[in-house]
Amino acid sequence: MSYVHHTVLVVDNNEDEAHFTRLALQRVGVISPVQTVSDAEEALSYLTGQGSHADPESRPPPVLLLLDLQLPGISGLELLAWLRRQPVLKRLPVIVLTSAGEPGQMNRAYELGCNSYLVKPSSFNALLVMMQSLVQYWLSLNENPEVWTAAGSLRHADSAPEGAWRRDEADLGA
Amino acid sequence: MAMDTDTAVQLYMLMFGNVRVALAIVRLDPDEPDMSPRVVDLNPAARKISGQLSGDSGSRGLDRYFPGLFDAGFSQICRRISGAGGAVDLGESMVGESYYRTQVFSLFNGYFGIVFTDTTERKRAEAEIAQLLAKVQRNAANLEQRVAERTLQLEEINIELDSFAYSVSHDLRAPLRAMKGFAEILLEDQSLGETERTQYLKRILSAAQGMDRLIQDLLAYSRLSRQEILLQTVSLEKVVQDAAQQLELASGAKSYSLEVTGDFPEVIGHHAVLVQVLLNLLTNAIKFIPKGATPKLRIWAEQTQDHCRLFVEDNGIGIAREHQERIFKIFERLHSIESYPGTGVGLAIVRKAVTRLGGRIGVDSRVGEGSRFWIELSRGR
Repeated sequence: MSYVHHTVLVVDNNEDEAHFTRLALQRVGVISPVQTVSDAEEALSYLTGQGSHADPESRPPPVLLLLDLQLPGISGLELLAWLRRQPVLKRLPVIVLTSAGEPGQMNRAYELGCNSYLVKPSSFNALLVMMQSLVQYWLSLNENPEVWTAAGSLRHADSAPEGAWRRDEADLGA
Repeated sequence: MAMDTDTAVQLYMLMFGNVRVALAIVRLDPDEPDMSPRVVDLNPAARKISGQLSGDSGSRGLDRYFPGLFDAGFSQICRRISGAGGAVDLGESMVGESYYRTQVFSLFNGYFGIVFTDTTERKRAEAEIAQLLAKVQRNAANLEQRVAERTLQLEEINIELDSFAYSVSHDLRAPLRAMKGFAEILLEDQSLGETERTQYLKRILSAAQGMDRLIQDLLAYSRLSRQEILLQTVSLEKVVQDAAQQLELASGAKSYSLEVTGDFPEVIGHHAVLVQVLLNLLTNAIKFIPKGATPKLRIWAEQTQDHCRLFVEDNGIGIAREHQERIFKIFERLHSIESYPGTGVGLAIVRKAVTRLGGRIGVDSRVGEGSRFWIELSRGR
């Protein structure tokens, strides 16, 4: 199985690890070039199309974010929290892919709304197996939310049929 | 036992006169029951107390003999016990520096006996015990507080150790994982081209080198914690010279300018450690520089009466205020390893070293406007 229009954005500060993730995704059939950014700030400008990522050609809209939590400067958890506060970007599935972290890190990531939490395996073959299941589920089985327009820019929050959900939310709060 | 009256009187008189307990016999005047009772007789011990109280031995009123010991209510007490008999303990009174305990008991026919006990000594001993006890309690409280403080410190150190162990294992595993991953791919993937194979081998090599640097830095850091550092008077001028020279060797082909201005006094420290500290600061200064810019470094010293501050200024990328405390912590890295390589241990080494030398370290900086690190040391004498 190959995945053509499935851009995955990898946020990883370690060039070697980003390389492994990229390579593993390619090997399990992700044909769209895997995009890599090395810190949260660059991820922000990629997702919002600013700075060095202003050109839409250079930033295919991702359907999935693979997020390392150990980032310099703004941490992965902070990036996740920011993302979940955005009107439309908050729909983007985020899978944490990180090395074994401090206790509490995982729970915090789930609280902040990650969709899955994976620990980087120590061997490349194990990473291949992990990426195999990951793309089968997230790029094939899973129905992805509407985040981007056909032209590759962010949708407007209003254009989505969101009213009913908002009412539900209000009821729950009451 | 039978005894004739003369003998009895003589014996009782002797006893009254010689006993060490102070005794008084007083009489309440039936015509003036509210007046202080009149003294009928005092034994020598009672006279002595009266003397100590500067009592008026010429008068007949008990209150004049023993000023301060008997208040107006005493006559009333006497009247009460004269009917029913019995004794009343009047408790302890303080007169001047001394304490007396008095008891009164009814004899007959309006006569009363009074027993005085000088409790000053006992009182003093009690006060001393109370004082000692208070001191013990104060010490105990003090000790408890110290234990609490120390416990807090230990807890902090424990947390630090935990996070240290976590960071060490994380930072050591990263290069290992890279080596392992690339080796696996090299072994199993026959389709790799020559360029890719070489590239992967180079990456394994650079991961190993990075790991080696990290281990060396960690060793340097731990050596600084354990090694005994003998504080001496050190020429800061010589330190600056040596560090500048080592920077030249360490920087390789990288170009930079270093300006050393003003006088450098003698400080309390350790030559080799200070050279290392300064070299770390200088290496950072030429490392954290915007792409394409030439590092401009300036070193100078300012002195106060007791201290000397050594400044290292650069034209680098600067540090945001909120990160300025973080940079001195071990394994803190503000920038990705690709943009500015390093182990995240360098400034932690610097801070540990300066602390061991009894000094302080700080930084003034703004993003994009360069940084000015300073270390403060005691001046040599």
